[in-house]
Amino acid sequence: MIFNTIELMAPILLAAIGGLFAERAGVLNIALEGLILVGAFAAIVFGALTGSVALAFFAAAGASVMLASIFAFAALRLRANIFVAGLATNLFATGLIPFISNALFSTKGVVRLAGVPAVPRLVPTLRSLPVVGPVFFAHTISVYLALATTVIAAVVLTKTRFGLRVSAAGLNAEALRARGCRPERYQAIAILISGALSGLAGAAIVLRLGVYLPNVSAGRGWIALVAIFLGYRRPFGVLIAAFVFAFSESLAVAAQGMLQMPGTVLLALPYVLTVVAMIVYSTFRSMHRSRHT
Amino acid sequence: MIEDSPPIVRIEKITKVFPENNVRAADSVSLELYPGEVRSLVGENGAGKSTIMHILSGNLAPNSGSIRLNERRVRFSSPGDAILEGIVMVHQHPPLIPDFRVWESLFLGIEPTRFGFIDRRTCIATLERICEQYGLSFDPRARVADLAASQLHLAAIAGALLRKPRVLILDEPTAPCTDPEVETIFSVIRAAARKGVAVVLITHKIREVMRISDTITVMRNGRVVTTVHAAETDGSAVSAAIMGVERPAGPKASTKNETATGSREDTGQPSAIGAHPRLSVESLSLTVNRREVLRDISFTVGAGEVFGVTGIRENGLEFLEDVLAGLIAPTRGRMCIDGVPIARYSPREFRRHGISYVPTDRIFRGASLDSSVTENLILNRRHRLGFAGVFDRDTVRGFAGSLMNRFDIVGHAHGPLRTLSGGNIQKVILSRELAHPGPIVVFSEPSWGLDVRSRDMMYAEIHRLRADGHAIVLISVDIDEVLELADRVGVMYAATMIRTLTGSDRSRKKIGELMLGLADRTTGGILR
Amino acid sequence: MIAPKQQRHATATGIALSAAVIATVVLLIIGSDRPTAALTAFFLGPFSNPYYFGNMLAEAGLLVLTGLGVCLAFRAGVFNLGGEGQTYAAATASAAVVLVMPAAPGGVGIAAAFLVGIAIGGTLGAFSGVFKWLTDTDELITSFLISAAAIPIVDYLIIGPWNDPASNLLTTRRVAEQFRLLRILPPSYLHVGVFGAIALSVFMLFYLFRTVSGYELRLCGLNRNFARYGGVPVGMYIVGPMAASGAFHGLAGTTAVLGIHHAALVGFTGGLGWNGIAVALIARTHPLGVIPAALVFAYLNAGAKAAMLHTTFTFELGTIIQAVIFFLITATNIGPQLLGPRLTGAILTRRTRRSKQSEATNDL
Repeated sequence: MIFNTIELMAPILLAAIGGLFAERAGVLNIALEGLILVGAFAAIVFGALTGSVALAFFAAAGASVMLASIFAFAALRLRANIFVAGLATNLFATGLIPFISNALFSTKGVVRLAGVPAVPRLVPTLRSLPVVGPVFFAHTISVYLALATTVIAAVVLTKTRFGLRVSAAGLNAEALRARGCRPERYQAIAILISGALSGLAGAAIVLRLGVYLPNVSAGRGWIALVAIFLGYRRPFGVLIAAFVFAFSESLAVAAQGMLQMPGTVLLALPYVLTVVAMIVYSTFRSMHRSRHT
Repeated sequence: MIEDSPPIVRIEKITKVFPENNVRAADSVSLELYPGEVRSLVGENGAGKSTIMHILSGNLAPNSGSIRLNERRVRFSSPGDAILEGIVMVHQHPPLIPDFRVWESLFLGIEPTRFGFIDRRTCIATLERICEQYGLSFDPRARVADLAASQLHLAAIAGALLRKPRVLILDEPTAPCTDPEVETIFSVIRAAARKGVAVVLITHKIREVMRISDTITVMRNGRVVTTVHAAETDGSAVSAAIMGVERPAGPKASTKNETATGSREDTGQPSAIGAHPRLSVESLSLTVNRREVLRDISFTVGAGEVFGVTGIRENGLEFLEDVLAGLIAPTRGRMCIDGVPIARYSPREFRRHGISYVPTDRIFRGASLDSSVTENLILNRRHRLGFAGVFDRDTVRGFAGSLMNRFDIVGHAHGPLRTLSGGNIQKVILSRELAHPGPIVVFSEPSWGLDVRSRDMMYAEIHRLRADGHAIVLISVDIDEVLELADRVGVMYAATMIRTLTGSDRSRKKIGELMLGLADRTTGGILR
Repeated sequence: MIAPKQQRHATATGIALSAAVIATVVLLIIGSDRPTAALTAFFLGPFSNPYYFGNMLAEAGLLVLTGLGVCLAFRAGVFNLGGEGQTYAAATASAAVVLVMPAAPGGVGIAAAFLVGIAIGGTLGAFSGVFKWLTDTDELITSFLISAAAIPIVDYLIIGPWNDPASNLLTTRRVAEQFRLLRILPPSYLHVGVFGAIALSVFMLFYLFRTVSGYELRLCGLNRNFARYGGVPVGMYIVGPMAASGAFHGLAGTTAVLGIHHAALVGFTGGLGWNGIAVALIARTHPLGVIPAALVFAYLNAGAKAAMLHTTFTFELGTIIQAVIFFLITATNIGPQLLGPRLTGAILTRRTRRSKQSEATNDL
């Protein structure tokens, strides 16, 4: 089950780290869900076209960056309300994908294509190591991609000029502007990064399934968003939060098998888990705060 | 002597009209700055001082006119462009980032890097060198949030020096500072000027202007009135030029500081000490985030009495204000009105008990900029301007109109408050609280953001309230203001009210020593 | 140069609506074998016969209700993103109520259905409000999540326990004749409920701008610190508007059941929540503006539906229209000045305002 959890964690973690960049820059990116969907769709299409996993991931990131740039343009250049623009991005994704899918494959539902490559696992020699092999080295590359992204994000956010300025843009945009940097620039780049990583998250989801389903992200964008808060807006905190979400998800899936729960109700589960986690977290935080007051 | 060299900056016929309210904030302003000079820019609120400097530092774009730097025409579209040309401004409220370390906040935008990573060691070493060089005392490794307000200012100035300015603009740099800190800032200014930097100082404090400046430029109504050498003028002449009269209107404007100690006695009004206490604060303590920010504070205020509270910011004044406004409940102790303890600490409850309150934070707490002027004015009387929870339009209109008349508020009653000038916004807030004041009135920093004229009007209102028998608490960091208005003065130091001074005890020197923690607590004075 | 606010708003609305129309036209041309027929249907379809026209007005009536709900929340400075689930859950619950009392008199059943609809919608909205008030949990995210969780559960109820075995559709049984709202333009679905929607707009206008409570609510939305300072119980104006916003969505749900569909079908209120947000934004959260905004939006949707009949494949044109409008409707830096010099200033005003507000709410 732990093994399964880690696989489930990868897309949540990728999207959450992406969202973390935006969050640090002061943009609550509620568009993650739509960005994941577009990435997922692009991954299936390009995976089937090229048969290459790398190109599928690459195309997913590219497609989501394109959508993210529309979001960034509306929010930063046109100065639309950031939440409404985020909403627009999600709606745009859910409207556009069926249109393209219909035009290309004459279906607006399940896209099942021949030649979608499976995501490879790590080098076999390492995998065959006793005990540690299956736990650490047997996962798909999506997992290692997500973990590497987390480490890189931690370094970039705390140790580089870019990271410092992204944080400054989020904490006090006017301070950054007074120092001669344009906060919008850093916010835009942060949104594009969250686009790219959400795209990878989408690819990780669908390449594991081998098929694109409508709403295949199933709320993972929102889960990722909440994971950012639960992880105290730090990369490794987000890692733990993403793991907890993935774990409870796999636990719940196992439980419903035993309890004979209907499949449709299961769709509500990620949202229920997320909202409960969020409320517990806020309650804890506010209790903590009032104790000190 | 200085004018011998060519000017470093030549501002030519700059005009700026704000489209929101059609105010001509700068009207064909021309100004020259010379290397190595200390220039003070003085004038009432809205005279255009800050506007013109915001244009010079790239924060605002002018409608017309030009800026020449060493005779070369420059155009700034952002503060970054100005910084690249060596024009650096330290704002009145420096935009620092509370969650950052001091060094991170100051090096933001000019971070030195090694192999792509920020070179932390170089940053800290550079800052420590600057601190040593100018006698500044703050820890570059500290969190910004942990610095006192005055230290923040010093840090912001150090941050400006890091950018190697040729023109250094300081907007009200001494506002939150104590006397020794003012000396530090002055020594930094002098050192910078010696190196050939043109320093521009925007300030209201005439006494400081006379001490530090080489030249003084007076602005009024968006125009430059005059530029004079400091050595060739005196404080009262500058005040007169600011006010636009031949000589100062009254003794207060410029000579206030000299006469402050005796001012209450001069008015000849009876002091109300010993009168029936309306408000009593009993052993008030407050702990926030495990830190004791108020410790065992007690005082009483009687009808017809002004009780002043002064001290340096960060010594508990802010928290005392919040408790007196009902925004935070004290951890221990209580407040009583006419001997009856207050049961619940909420602004709603306090209003019901007849406590009026003018907050320090006028903009975020005291006003709603996007609501109309009328909607700002009716806040306290909203339940009395109609029937059964429905407003009567004529009553509302009449009420707002009468306040605007009485307090001489210029603006459109149904336009957003944002479109009014700063002074008029202040008047809207004050008129709302003073129109139907409760028996107890809490003023925090009543003259912040007011020019000399409005300030005098404000003081007259406080005197009137006192004469009408209101019990008044006056919280102010300005010693002169407290001496001018208060019957008794409580001095805050390190979260506690270390001494209450009455009558002739209330000297500027003594209060200054107490608020710095220099005075011996056990001798003399009335200890609470 | 910053143009005056109202002019800026008018520009943004104009550009957003035109862009939505242009996007639709382009997609129809790409997606149709007979573009002229599709375009004619899009523009004129809603007026071509009483059936289409009446249905469009009926849709507008529902949008007025959800739009008012969104308005109320926005005016109080809270976001309700849960409209979809609130409408759907309330609609299905009110259908269930009248289905369990098939013999009750019409008035009783209708009253019960509306009460349950309002209660369900209000409760779902109030949840987010209460947690926002007590623990400062972002109501924007929780309202969405609660709604998203409600949708599959309601789906399950309609498909499972409450399903009509006699029907091939995923639907409940049809509600009894006496509970249906009177239709005024047969054969279309237009029913008397639209008058209720218009009356509620007028009432909302009165409430917001003429009553002390409406004044307090708007103050909370514009500057919560100031409202608190003036003795306004700000906690009440977080929970209240969220609950009321949910209640309006519930009202729309019940109206959809009793007035239009006469049963609860899977996904049958889909879009009312999001469209309500679009309507409120087009109306600039003005209660009377909601009526023309709802008409415009209903027209675009009806046109899109009519045009779909002339395309070679179906797709979610309505969603794309929504998206385009959402991208542009709140833009403040749009139109001629976008081409001018770069503007400076705070871009995330809501965010900074929020953090300022949360600073002062520690003793609530």
